[in-house]
Amino acid sequence: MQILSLVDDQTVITASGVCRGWRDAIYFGLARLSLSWCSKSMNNLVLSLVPKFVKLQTLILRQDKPQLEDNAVETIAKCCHELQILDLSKSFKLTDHSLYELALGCRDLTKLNISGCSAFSDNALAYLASFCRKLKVLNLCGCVRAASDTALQAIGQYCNQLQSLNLGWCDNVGDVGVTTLAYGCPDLRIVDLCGCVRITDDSVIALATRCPHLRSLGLYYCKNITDRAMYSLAHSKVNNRMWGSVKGGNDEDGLRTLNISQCTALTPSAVQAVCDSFPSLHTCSGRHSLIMSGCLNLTSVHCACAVHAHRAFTTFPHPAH
Amino acid sequence: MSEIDMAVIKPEMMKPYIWLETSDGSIQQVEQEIAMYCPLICQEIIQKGMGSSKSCAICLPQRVSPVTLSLILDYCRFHQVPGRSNKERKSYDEKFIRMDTKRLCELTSAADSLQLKPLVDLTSRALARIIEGKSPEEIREIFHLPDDLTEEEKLEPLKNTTDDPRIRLLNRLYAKKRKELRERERLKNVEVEEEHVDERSVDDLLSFINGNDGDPKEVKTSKNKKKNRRKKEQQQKNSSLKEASEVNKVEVNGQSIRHQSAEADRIAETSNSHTEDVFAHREFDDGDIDDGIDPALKEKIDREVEDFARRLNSDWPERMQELLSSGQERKMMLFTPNGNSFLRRNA
Repeated sequence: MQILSLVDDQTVITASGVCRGWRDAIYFGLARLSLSWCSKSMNNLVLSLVPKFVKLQTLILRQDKPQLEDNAVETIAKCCHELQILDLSKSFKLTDHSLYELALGCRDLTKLNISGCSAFSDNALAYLASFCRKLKVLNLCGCVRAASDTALQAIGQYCNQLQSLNLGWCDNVGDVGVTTLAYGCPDLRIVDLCGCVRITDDSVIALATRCPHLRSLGLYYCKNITDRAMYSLAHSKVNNRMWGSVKGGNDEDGLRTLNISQCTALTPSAVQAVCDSFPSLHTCSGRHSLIMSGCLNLTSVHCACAVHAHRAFTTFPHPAH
Repeated sequence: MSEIDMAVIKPEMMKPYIWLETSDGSIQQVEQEIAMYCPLICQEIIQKGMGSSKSCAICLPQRVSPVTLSLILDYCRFHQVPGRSNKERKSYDEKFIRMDTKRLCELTSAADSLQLKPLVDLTSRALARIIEGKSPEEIREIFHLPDDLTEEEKLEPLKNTTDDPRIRLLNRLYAKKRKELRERERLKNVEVEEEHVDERSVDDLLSFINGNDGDPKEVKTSKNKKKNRRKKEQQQKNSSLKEASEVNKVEVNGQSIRHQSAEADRIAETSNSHTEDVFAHREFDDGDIDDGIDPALKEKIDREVEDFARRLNSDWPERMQELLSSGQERKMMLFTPNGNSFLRRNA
């Protein structure tokens, strides 16, 4: 199996047709399979292959053009009970039936990517959350119907181990959902709310106060965010440092990535306060982790190393001057 | 050797040795420093204090033969020397794995049993490079593996992949044949029913039951009729079976070779046993595709399809290989070597 872990997935499938010994070793030993290379008949391939690979833990079914249908996901749910990582991104043809089946069949899921699955409803997602309680990474980018406050409340209630959530362009998401999420999932580290135009400062304040391990926050195009949210983030560092000293946290904890592009209501002083609170946030080139594109009034905001570099440059002017 | 000479010999020059016993029972003396590069041997020495003498030699796993052990020790001897550059190590590794596949497999197995991860990784990568891009037949040949899978099992991963127009066309042909068989079966049943229509009056029947005026000769003739009918039916069955299996006949150098495909077997079964058509709900049942086409054109298409099936079957092993190749877009090209046209897919 170690040898087969070094070859591509097509070769693995080929190898399963070599002899009985190899076939059985692959069928009962293969833990990871990707069919993303399949450009035409992924659905048929899933239907014929997945029932044989009973020990699968990771299944990548990313598509460029939609191929997967509910019957394929149903097969996955019925056969792969040990599945932990599932990628169904861009499966536009899938309906709620798929989520209901996954909820019943794959309860050990820790990572689920359903980005671009626009047909899913919030009820189906809430149902999935109530069964798959071990979820740590959930990508709902573009799931406009599925990602609503109702669904987020269910996720906050049941998926308490959640660490990463992508809600990109889910414009039905509001403060109620995000706040419930922050209260229910204290281990959140990565939250992407880009394009969630309905959220306000309340969501950011809830995340800042309730999620001490928050490392990355995406607020691109969240035009309702004001300085109040920024000061809350800056202040959370102080609270978390006090909490961290008890738990043995290090100074590198805290925000490492913050995207506030197009958040035009923010002022330089508030953003500078955040930048000063978190040394890992950089505005300097090469280490760009505080992203402020489209905010012309924030050009004066700089990270500590950029300030030092500027000082050094002014202290030792160029000999030509 | 005098005491002065002994004093000159530095302690590091007096290398300690340990004893190792391989699977065939032979015992070797090996430098401890080199042998301890293998975690399993290291464990045995430190935890159990084994290998210090010939009597308590470290028993190596079954998979470690004297030949593979010497190869492993060569590898350890080179890699345990500090200060070698990555380039040197890489160059050595490349040369080291230049060996036949059988030995490479044995080496991988032995290294794995000795928990020597760097060597396992190296040999596994080499084997992966050998396997990659090969067809099942080639892999079997390289590793001398048995061909113990049935044709259906070999095709299993592909049975639902209908991207290949040739597979679609063949399925269409099979569907057409199935339809013909169904028609024949239906007509036969109608004939039988017609023959069984009893036109005798009630009085005749009663007298027959009571045994009055029962001419034994008449009874005999009816039996003969039945026999003849059975013979006829049998002939019809055989002819339909023959037609079905003719789909899989291929002309090679003037000789007729029959390819027993799974589909042909199934068709034969259906014609032998009077069961309802098992293919009725098959995914590829598109036998009705030609409905509404000009009969002359239809006949021409049928001829082409049958001719095509013959060519397709002759090229089956190559096709298998190609079908398993990547999901990239591939073009269909027609070649005609030696006047015998056949289909082959090219990238």
